[in-house]
Amino acid sequence: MASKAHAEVENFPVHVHHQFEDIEQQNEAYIVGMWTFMVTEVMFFGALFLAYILYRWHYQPDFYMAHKGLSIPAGAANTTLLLLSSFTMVLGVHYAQLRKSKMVVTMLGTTCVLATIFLCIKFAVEWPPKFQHGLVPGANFGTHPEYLNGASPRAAELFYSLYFLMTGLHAIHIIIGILIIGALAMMWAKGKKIVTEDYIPTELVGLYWHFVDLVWIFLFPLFYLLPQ
Amino acid sequence: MSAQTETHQEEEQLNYLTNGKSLKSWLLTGDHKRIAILYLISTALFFMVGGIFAGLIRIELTSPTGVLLETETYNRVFTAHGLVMIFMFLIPAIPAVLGNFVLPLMIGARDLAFPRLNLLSWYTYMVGGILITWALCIGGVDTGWTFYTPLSTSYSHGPISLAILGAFVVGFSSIFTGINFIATIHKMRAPGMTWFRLPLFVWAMYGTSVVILLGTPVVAITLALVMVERWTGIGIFSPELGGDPVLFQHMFWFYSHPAVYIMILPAFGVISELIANFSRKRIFGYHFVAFSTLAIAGLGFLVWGHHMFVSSQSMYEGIVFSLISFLVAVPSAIKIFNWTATIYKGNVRLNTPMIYAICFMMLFTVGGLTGLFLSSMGTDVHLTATYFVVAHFHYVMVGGAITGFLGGVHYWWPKMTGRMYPEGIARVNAILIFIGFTATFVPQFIVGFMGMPRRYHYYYFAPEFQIYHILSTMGASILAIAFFTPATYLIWSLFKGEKASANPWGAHGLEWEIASPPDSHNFHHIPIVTDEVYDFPGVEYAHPSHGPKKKKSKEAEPATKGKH
Amino acid sequence: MASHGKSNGIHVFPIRMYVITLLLLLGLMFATVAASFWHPSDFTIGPITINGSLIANLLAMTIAVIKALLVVFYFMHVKFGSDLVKLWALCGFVWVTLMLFILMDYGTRKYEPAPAFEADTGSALYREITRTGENPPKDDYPIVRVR
Repeated sequence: MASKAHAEVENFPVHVHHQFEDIEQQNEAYIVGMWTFMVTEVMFFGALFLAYILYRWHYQPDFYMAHKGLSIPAGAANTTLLLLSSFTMVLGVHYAQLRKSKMVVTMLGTTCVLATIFLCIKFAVEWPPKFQHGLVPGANFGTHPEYLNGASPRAAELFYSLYFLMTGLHAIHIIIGILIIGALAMMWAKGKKIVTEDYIPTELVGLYWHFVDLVWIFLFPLFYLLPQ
Repeated sequence: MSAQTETHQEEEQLNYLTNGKSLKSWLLTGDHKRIAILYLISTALFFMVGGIFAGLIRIELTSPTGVLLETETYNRVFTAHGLVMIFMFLIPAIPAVLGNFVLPLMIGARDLAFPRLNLLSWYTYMVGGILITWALCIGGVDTGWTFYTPLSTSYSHGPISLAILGAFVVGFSSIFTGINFIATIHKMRAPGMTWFRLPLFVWAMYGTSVVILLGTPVVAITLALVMVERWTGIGIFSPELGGDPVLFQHMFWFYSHPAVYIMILPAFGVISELIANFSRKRIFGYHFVAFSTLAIAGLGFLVWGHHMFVSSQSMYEGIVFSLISFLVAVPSAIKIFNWTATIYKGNVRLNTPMIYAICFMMLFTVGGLTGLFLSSMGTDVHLTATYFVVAHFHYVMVGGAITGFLGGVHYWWPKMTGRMYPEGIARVNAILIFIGFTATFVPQFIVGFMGMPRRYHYYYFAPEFQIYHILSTMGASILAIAFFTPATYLIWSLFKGEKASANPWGAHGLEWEIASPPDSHNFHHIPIVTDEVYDFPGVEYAHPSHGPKKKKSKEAEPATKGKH
Repeated sequence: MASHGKSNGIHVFPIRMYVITLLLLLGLMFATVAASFWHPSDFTIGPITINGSLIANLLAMTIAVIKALLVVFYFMHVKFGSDLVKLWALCGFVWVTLMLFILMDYGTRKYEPAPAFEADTGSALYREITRTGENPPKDDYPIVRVR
């Protein structure tokens, strides 16, 4: 794809923690630590994907009918928002490498705004009708059978259980992400040395945010776009 | 040796114990050595709690109709024993205490890569511990430590969510430790400390961390699902809501079988250190032992199904799991044989750590071989959920992991505290542990084979089992004394013990080249490693090929910085 | 990130690369939405019949994997990262795949010689055993709530 260009950026005097020999070692340790953390996150969601695959396999026709209760436009809009936010995040890292503080704050702020719109669509547009239509697992599930689109209530309840669990866990990650990116943007705006003197803290937050995006890339087709 | 010596003899030199005396300096420390001490104290306390529950179980079983506890209480007691011992003691014991303390010293680092994450890990552990203790105090859990569904989701009463939350939180503490170790081992090795110059304990820690990272999230989410099922109406694991309880067992054992390796792999690492140092020989087949660690870590993930041979798992998958379970015996046997070959014609000194190491080899061999009975499907149908299984995993967990832990604590005690423990009583005590342990669990093998089910507190249907249970309880009493004694003499040694030199064992390794106890930053200058691991001075090898490959010159030739 | 070695340079990538990645991702998203409206019928080559649903599933998952790889390679800079980062990035996904080994249990149960227990007609297991065609039997059992 795009050719990579190497620009040499002069190194600022940076703070190295006492346990590290030099900034090189510190940055590499941070990157390795972050990736090992991502592996645990992959396993975390992986277990839920496993449960999803099992029940989808068992109840495919019911899952297909139940999934019609989800809105594809809302899901597609959310996917677009997350992809865009990933893009602005990566630009934030880009400008952090170039030490353009203002642009970093703008990009991180945009990321936060996009993520907040994502949550608004989810919590304000998608979820409330589910409560009214009796599609939230629990004692009231299936009280309005017309919204089940002919699926067996039991299988549909499993579908919606998995839907709420997986998108809920994903939403928790989004909320944590907004808090972290917000804090990072504040620190950039105030010029706190701990983040501004090296791009690695921004890069680490970026890795987390791309992971959240990555999960949604799989959640979207698995819940909104089931084949017959 | 040629590695840079860092011994500082000055008495007034502040070490990590004396550098800051306030409680705050301990509770907010980033020093891996202090965190190790915090972990040592807390795991020891939880071990005592778990031990009390074990004592209650043994007393109850001395009579066919029970002597002490109600049926319901008994269920809660054995659950408490399992929960506390596994989540609060065995999993963190060696990695978080010994690993935290010696891993940075062994690879020549000033600290772990993320000291604050390390401290957070201890606090997470304590929060989880408090939650579990709280759950036990307000009534306890009666599901067994495995939380099998649908008992735990639908039928059981009591503070199960609280206990599960505790286990969930403790899981994060081990994840944090794992991340820290991986980053440290990859990126913090001293110059010249290549992968094959790492002591085997570091290899063991690496394998353990990988297992923790890949397994713990799965059990975390599984337990979280059980919690959510109890709170809300979803039914992922509830058959009456369309879910599948066997899925819980799959997901639970996907972590909890590798968790067994989280407990035993660090012990393997400790034993490798002990055997090499007290035989004054390089470990026989260092590369094999190192790679068998990774092989166990990898294969350990593919055998979870042998817990489920009778759980309506497909028998075809059972056959595959049975086969792979047999395969795990291969790397374990490589270790045992290589240790034996190391001792052979070694200059063996029977200090306390070495006695523990020899106990470990004997007990672990029995534990491992009885595991083969259980991994063959035919015998397992007979032996599932009997005392045979109980004895088997206690042989591995207590005879393996705890013996390794005690051996390691004795071995590194001079480094940790700067004091020697009383050698004579410690030796007697190590032998006492072996005797008490054997007396406790050999009768359990027999009674289990005869058909005594685990988790029963009545056996009036078979009064002939009583003699074995009484023998076992007698052994447990010896074991209780033998576990209590180290606590007393180790604390005594803190005040009255002989002052330890930097290297009381004449051992080889970076951790022995700095003062005992080390100062806060471990190394004043990061050492440059030029010699091979376990390269004991003055050791004549029968044949040059038995010894380590020697470098031509002894001049410091800084090798390439250890990366990747 | 800086790859291994001692160079002090930071790899700064042109914004063009990120823009192209984003456009590809958005394009693939529309492709997967469009593909979801296509319901392929069963497809027969000689003796082998491929389920239409399987084709649609494979298509959707292939697009998702391509999108994921784009994000991992270009946004997360794995393509330009050290081997160690590549190894860890791979590790998680390999292990999740390994976990899918669990499904083999459910896949092989129906080949067992005989069900070894009295089937509980309400259980998911029972459905698996009695499964004959593509569709599991619809159940109209009332949902029992014990809690």
